[in-house]
Amino acid sequence: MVEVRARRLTEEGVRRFSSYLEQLRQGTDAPRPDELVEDPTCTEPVPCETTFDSERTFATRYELGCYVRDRLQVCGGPEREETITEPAFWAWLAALWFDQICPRDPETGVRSLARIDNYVPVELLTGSALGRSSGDAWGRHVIRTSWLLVERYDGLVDFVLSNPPHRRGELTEQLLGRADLPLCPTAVEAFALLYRTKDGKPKPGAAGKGPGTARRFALIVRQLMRTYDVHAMTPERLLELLPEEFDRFRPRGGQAKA
Amino acid sequence: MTSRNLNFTGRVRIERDHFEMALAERVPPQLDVRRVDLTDLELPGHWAVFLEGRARDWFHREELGTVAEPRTGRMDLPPETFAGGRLPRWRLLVVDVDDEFRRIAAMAEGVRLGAEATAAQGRTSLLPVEPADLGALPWRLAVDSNGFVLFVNDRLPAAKDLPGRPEVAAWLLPAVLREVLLQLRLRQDTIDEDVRREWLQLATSLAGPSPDETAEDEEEWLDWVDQVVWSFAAKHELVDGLLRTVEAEE
Repeated sequence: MVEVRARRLTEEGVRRFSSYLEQLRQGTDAPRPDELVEDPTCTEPVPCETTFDSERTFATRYELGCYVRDRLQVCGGPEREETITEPAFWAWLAALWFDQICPRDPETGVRSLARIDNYVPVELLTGSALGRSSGDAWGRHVIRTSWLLVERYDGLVDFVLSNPPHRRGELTEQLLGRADLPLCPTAVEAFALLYRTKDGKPKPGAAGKGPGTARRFALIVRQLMRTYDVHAMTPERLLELLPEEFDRFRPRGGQAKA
Repeated sequence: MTSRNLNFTGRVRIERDHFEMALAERVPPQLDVRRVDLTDLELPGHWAVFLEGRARDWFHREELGTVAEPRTGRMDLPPETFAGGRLPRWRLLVVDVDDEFRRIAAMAEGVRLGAEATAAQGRTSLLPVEPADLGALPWRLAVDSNGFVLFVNDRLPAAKDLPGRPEVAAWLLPAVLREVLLQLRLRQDTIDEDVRREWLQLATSLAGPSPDETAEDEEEWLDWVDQVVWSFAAKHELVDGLLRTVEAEE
């Protein structure tokens, strides 16, 4: 266990991290630069005086989100707010655990790099080739999105975050890809009622493109939100509004409204 | 068993002159509702009025009383309303509380308040142009919750002004407009409603109303996009502008 005081990347740190990621993308392999962890040129402390274990390993994104949430609970008020809304803090965490969120393939030794905004929050990339690149509601940052979902919905989203940290997964894609969904507890609870098994795993067939899938849920609920006051409904009520194609995922006893 | 109609559009539009409200960036931030007058909408007086604000990772809902007795005055907003440079988008809505599914009976979307309004006023173009490090790419279109942005490679001299030059506009702008309209179709479930509405208004003014975005058949949409792009090029005389530049150089 190596506890490191919470920090954020400085402008120079963001530049070096982005440059390192660009090198990886072009096929040049190298270990993550050590200065991205505690070097004062590349990092500086955040207001929230907490620590993170740099050697901690996470089996799933849910475990990762829970750990970050618990560590941030030691501070409150403006210190906490200033820390969690600081994109460079999330970039620092990504650098801290980079070997986990972008691991080497055990057979080939090659890292499978995702889009850069999985590691450096998109707000820090404006003006670069990858800035402002998608309509994703909460961005794609591996750690920030995992933490946000856990922070707001806790165990309700364990099935969404059941992938290892380096894999985003279709359910995350659908839940976070639509601006309105992750901000609406009714929609997230209905999502869980439809697609979560009792032991916190995704139901078979929930991913994909067919009728009744999470992709269709996101599309249809977004339309419903423009017609009904979904925020004030119970999740069961929202399920009643969904068409028949969702019947195969509906909890027993739940049927579409006539 | 049949499902309810998902495309219900019997909603009344709330106009900007139906209300007067502003945001104050103080601690805690406040919402100042000076006036809400929905009487001419002829809605039942007991239906509920709400103001909803949302940003990338933030949502807030303020109860504003009823149609007959709207709540006015200063209201504290959550302390984190403007944290991290957030600029929430707002919508005002009236909910039919007699409907078992709480139908939205009236709505004003894209309401801009306080700092947002200032930012919006500063934005004079539907398509801001920003120089950026694009590597080998001359230009790139991107979209976020504030709308589409045209990035132009910052290695090009006067990159910000390039798209306005006739010899560039003729080749660039039709392609950009086509991409915007295709993205509206492809990303219909992710692009912000206000952004979508602004672009569709422009396109509709050029080539009439768009086909149904959710229809399986994409051909109709593609045909309509062709018409919009053609009308845009004709309206702005892109070929003539290019021709004049070419002739002047010869």
